[in-house]
Amino acid sequence: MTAAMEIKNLSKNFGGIVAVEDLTFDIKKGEIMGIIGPNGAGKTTVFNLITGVYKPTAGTVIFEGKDITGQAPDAIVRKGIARTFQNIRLFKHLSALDNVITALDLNYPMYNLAEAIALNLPFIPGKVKRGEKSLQEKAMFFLEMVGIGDKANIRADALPYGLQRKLEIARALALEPTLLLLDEPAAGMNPEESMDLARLIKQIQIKLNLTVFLIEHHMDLVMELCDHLFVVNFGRELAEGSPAEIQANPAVLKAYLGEGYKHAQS
Amino acid sequence: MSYYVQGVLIMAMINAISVVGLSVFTGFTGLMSLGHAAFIAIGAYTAAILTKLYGFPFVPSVVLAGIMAGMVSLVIGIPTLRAKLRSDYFTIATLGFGEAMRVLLENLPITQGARGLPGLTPYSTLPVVFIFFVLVTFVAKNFVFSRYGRMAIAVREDFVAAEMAGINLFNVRLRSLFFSAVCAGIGGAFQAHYITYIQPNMFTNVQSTLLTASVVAGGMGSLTGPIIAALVFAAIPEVLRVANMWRLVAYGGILVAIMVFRPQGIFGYKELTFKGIYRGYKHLAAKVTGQGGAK
Ligand SMILES: Nc1ncnc2c1ncn2[C@@H]1O[C@H](COP(=O)(O)OP(=O)(O)OP(=O)(O)O)[C@@H](O)[C@H]1O
Ligand SMILES: [Mg+2]
Repeated sequence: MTAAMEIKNLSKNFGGIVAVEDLTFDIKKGEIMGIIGPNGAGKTTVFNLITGVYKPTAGTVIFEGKDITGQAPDAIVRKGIARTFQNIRLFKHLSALDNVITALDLNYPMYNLAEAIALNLPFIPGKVKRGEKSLQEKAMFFLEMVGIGDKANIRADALPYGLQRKLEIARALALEPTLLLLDEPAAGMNPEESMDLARLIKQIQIKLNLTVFLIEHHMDLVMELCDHLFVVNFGRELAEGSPAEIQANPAVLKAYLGEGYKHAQS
Repeated sequence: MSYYVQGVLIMAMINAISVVGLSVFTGFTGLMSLGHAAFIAIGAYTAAILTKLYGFPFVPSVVLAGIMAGMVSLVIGIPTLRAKLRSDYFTIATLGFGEAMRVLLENLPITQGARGLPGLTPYSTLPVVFIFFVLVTFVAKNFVFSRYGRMAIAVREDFVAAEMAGINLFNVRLRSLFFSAVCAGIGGAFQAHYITYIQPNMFTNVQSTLLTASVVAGGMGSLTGPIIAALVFAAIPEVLRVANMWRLVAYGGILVAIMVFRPQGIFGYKELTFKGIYRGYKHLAAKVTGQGGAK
C-alpha cells in the first residue's frame, strides 16, 4: 500500500507552548488510522496543520505525493481532504440539506453569477432552478448515507447533538474527498451509539473508497475500527502500531489508557 | 398623490436602495461597515459631475455612479479583506475610509471643495426611483437565494467551516462588498438629484451608522426586514419634521426598543413573503373570530 499522506517532522508552537513537536508518520491509502492521546496532547492541532487552519512552525505535509504545507484551507479541500470539527461547526441557520449543498458546490457549481442574478425569474423554470434541484437530490444521497435523510429540512441548530455530528460527516463527504479527517466523531455518545457510529464509518469508508484519519477518546471504537494507531503525548510521539500492539505498550498504558486497560472485544 | 407624500416616498426608496445593498453585505457575510456613506458620496458626486458638468443623460449617469462606487469598494476591499482582518478591525478600517473620503471631496478641484455642487436638475422622480428600487431588490433577492448567497451565509455562520467547505472567504466577502457599494452609489446618485445640491458634509458617519443600524434593526440575513427598516427610518424625519431635535432621540428609541423586544431584528434570518402575510392574516382572523388556528 502506498501512502495517502506523509507527515514529516511536523512542529507547531503557540508562543511559548509547544503543541506539536517533530511528528513523523504516514497514513496509508485505504486504511483507517487513528490518533489518540490525553487531552491537550496536540491531536486537533495536527488536524489544523494538515488542513491549513494553522501554518506549521516546521515540517512538511505531503498529500498524494505533493507538498501541501501551509496552503490555504480552501485550496487543500480542493485537493481532496475534508474534515469534521471537535466543536461542531455547522452553518446554524441553514437547513441540514443546505449545509450539505454548500459543500457540494465545490465540485458542482451549477450556474454562474450572471445567470444567478439575471436569469432567475419568478415562476419560470431555468438553469438556476434546475441546478438547485439537482443539488438537492445529490445532497439527499449524503444525508441518507449517514442516516438523517428524514431531517433534511430541519435547521442545523435544531438537530440533536448526535445528529449534528452526523450532519458534519455528511457535509464533509459532499466535498468528495479521498482523505477524511474526523475529530472526535463519537464525542458525547454512549458506548452503544459510538459502536453504531463505528459501523457507519466503516460502511462509508468501504462504499466511497476513503482513507480515514480519526481522533477519538472512545477506546472501544478506536480498537474496533482502526487499522493503525499513532499515540501522542505532550505533542510528541509516544508509540505507533496496530491496535493490539498499542494496547500492550507499557508507555501508552502508563500515559493514557491506564494500567490494567483491556479492550472489551479483544 | 400629494407632492409631500411623493417626496417622502422618494427619499424612503432612495434610502432603501442603499440599505438593500448593505444588507447583502452585512446581513449575509456578517461584516459591519461604518463607512458606506462614502460610497453614497462617490455615487452622488459621480452622477452630479456627469449630469452638471458634462451634460450626461441621467439614467446612464446613475449606472456609472454605481459602477464608480463599486470600483472604489475594490480599492478598499482588496487590501482589507485579503488581510483577513478580524471583523472589528475591518469595521474600523471602513470608518477611516469614510472620513478619508470626505476629506478628499473637500479638497478635490472637481468636487468644488466644501461649497459642493449646487443647482442639480431634480431628475429623481418617483417612477425612475421606483424602477431602480425594484431592480436592485430583484438582483439582491436572486443573489441571496443562489449559491452565492448560500456561500455568504456559510461565511457568516462559521468562516472556518466555510473555508473547510472549499469556500474562498475573500471572494465571497469582496463580491458582497462590491454589490453593496454599487447600490450605495446608485442611492447617492438619486439623492443628489433629489435634493439638487451636494456638499461633502452631507455624507457623514452618522449616515453610515444609520445604514448599518437599518440592516441590524431590520434583521441580519433578511432583505425585507432591512427594507422595511429603511423605509421607516427615512419617513421618521419627515413625520417629525416639526421637532427636528427629537429625530435622533426617536432613532435611538426605536433601536433600543428593537434590541430589547426583538434582538434578532424585525425579520432576523427571515423574509416577509406574500405567503407569510396570508398565513399571519389567517392566524389573526382565526384569533379574532375565536376559532383556534392550526397548531
Ligand atoms: N490556537 C491556539 N493558541 C494557543 N494554544 C493552542 C491553540 N490551539 C491549541 N493550543 C494548545 O495546544 C495544545 C494542544 O491542543 P489540541 O487542541 O491540539 O489538543 P488535543 O489533543 O486535541 O486535546 P483534546 O483531546 O482535549 O481535544 C494545548 O495545550 C492547547 O492549549
Ligand atoms: Mg482535540
